[in-house]
Amino acid sequence: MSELRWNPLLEEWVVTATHRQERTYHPPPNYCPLCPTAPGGFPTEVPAENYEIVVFENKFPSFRIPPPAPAVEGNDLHPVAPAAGVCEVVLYSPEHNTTLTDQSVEHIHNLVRVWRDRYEALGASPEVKYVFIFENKGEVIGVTLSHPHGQIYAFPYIPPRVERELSASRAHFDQTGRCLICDIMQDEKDEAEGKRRIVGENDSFLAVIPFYARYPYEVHIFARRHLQAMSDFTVEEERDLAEMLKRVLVSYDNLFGFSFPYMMVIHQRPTDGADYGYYHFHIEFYPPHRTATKIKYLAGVESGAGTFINDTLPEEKAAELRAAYAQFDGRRREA
Amino acid sequence: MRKEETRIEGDRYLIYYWFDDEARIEQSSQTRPETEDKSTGVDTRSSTDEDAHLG
Repeated sequence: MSELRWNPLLEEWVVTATHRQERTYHPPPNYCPLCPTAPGGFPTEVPAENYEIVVFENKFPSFRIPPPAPAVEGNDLHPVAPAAGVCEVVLYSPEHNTTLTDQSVEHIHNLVRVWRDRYEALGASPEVKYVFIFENKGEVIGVTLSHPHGQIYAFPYIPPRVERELSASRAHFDQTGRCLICDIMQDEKDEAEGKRRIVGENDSFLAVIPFYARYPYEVHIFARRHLQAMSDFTVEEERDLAEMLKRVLVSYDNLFGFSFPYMMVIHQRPTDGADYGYYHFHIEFYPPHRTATKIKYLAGVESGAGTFINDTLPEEKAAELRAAYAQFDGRRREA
Repeated sequence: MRKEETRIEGDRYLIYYWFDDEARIEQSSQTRPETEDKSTGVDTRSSTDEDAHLG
């Protein structure tokens, strides 16, 4: 069963998806459902013996088209709505013991092209208002399958965190006539600030641990050009994003000496047809580690008050990552 | 970039994205090459516990 339940206190939807309790939990490596199907082997989700990048519908989706009937009836205080949407899995590589970090810039560029294709294809559906592309990496995040993969949720509404960004961006634009993230980037690049929070940059993207970072190593990648979605990318920008992702990911691993866990989320224009010219494409990383051996948990203040306590200064963490970024030679070094 | 779409257990779609013709030639006969964006045959695999995924 899956449905949307409205929280009138926070004015946001909660998705129930009880069937997801049955999903595969840490299978043995030789029974990975995301590997290609080997000759004579057990059938995985992918029938072919080989692939480059694969996208498929999640077997245990939070959203579906057509949606299942809700388990309960709502009322005026507690509205219920069908969970209409799509949940996809994106397999980055047929190699089980690898990560996105290990992929070549060329392969990551291909992944960017797949993301763009899925954004456009899913966004064309009248039920879909927002295409949310993301990756959860690492057991500490809660990942139950270690095969390198990301996911896409095609939402029937604009998720609240994005809604808040849109609202703030719209208000800033109305007040100043400028894009909020363009102004944030300009402030980060300001020489008076000494570029203290910049991790790296290329012709098309800027990577920073922003002034307001919640996690110690929370990198945001901003498009230099004012654009709203991957559909606006030139080929050069697709390639530059791949190069930027590769460098940031390798920097994470090399700074810590192990395969660094993270949540990676892509924020771009909703697909409900409205005008979002004031918004700005960016990617956010939320790594849970605050040191190599300590985790930043979302405890009472973060979960109950909605306020993050960051135990570090973004300026100091950016300096650490910037040094690792500057030493990039394309290789990942493990301790 | 080329796409080949097929159906898997539960009548779900699965799309292969190919960027390299050589890699595509190596794929098994279990993959049914199709024209771009065209949905086709149904995979008849049985469901097993190991078959399930994802989080």
